[in-house]
Amino acid sequence: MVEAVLAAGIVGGLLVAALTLVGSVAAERRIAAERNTGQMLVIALAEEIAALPAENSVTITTSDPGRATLTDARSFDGYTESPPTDRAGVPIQSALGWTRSVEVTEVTSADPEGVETADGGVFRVRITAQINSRVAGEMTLFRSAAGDEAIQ
Amino acid sequence: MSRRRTRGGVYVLVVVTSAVTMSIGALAVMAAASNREMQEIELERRQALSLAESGIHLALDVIERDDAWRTRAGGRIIDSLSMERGELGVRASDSDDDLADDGSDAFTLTATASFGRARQRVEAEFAYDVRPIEAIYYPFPIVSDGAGRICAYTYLSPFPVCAGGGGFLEADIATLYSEPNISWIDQPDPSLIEYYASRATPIPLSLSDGGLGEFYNNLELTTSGVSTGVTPNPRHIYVIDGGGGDVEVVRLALTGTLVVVNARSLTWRRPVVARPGPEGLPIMIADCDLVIRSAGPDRIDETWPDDDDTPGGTDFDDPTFDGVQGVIYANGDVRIRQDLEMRGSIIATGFGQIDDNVTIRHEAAYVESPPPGFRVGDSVRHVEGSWRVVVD
Repeated sequence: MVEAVLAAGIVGGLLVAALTLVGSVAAERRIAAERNTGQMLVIALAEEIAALPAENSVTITTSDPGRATLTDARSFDGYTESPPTDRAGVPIQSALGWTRSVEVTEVTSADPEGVETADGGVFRVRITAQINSRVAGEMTLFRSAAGDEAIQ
Repeated sequence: MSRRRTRGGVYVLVVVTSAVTMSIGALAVMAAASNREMQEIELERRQALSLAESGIHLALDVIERDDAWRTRAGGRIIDSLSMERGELGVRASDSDDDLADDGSDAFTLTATASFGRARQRVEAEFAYDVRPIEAIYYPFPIVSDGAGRICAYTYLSPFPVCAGGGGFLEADIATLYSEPNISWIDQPDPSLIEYYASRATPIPLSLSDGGLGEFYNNLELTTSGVSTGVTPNPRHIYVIDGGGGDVEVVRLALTGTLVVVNARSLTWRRPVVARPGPEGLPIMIADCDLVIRSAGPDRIDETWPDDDDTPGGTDFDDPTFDGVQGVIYANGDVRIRQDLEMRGSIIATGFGQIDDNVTIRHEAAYVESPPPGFRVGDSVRHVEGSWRVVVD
């Protein structure tokens, strides 16, 4: 009888420890998965914006609400979508419940992390991905008119 | 078998089973963590790459706005910019490891970015999309409309332009203005005077022989030697400050660039012989009226290694030609009073007058590689195919 109780105690203790471990691993995994999803979302949009010029001289006006009409980095300022979509406007199924937003600020190359500067020539593009009001992905890139002229 | 041995066996069995189960669980957790870590590293790599590419954009803006960017220590265009979990630095370099020696040298930007555990390096080469200013295509593009443009009427005839007296007088200008088919072309910006003056070595006033205004006799400014009292300039650029008066230069031996500032006029008298220095810069920059009085050619007997025979290079160093070779710029009127043999261009902001036999032959070399101040479109262009991600 004593042996059975001791064995059951040992197994029970191990079970509690295992469940606790599983619980914490699951929580950590969920956070990591969120972080990965968030980073993937911001990187995908960042790579999309990076392929565009900093600022087009021509403004395109269209009734199409999708971001296919956003043809330069600057035009992404204030862009928000929930759930995030691909370039064609199709919602990304693995990102339901997420919100992706962009803030574009014109700054100077001398102080790229500084405040808004008219005619600064450099556009700081900050992309964030949130779930349940938590920021799970964040990324900053820069585009400049000088870079457009030299590269594109 | 005793019961005591059986009881011990149960304990061992429980412990071993539990240990095996825990080990399997731990391995599964570790494998999942490793997989996640690899995903994270990949995401960090992409963010570092994006940051490095951003660095190239930032650096190009710095280069556009800072004329002195080539003098930055170590070629550091962006020196350690931190943001979020990332850090960025951009350096510039060129093929001769001396960015400052020639503002037209192609250069390479190297952006190094780290993000989390990832580090990425992007390199891209840039060159200048330089075109010669249109005026340099013409041997004697002088007639100005007073608004920074010159009349192309004077060089409609095939090269070389030859004039046997007369030339263009002010009276002709009114006629030209009424020509319906006149085309106007842009002149160089007079700021080129400051560009060359700021790089020049002063010629001491003590070398002037006095007289009415400043009078320099037998001034030697060549690559093989300069007159006593003049400090040799590494780029062979020299400047005379006219003190607001008239400057006269006689028997000048010039291989390089002579700049005259703060003067009412410059008279350049026989023999009128000059050649550009090895960089192919203009031979004469006068911030005043210019009078050229020549009486027969002479030769400057100098040679230097001709490294300009590559495409796009400048080749003014024809040792068999005895006259003037190169570009002359005057921020004023130009009058050629006696014979002049020249290969090059005379560009002026004022009026031009030719009193005697003059032959000015257009030279293609400086159209291929125009000197500073005679270029347009000095914009930076990415060299196609040079963009690469460097794996350390």
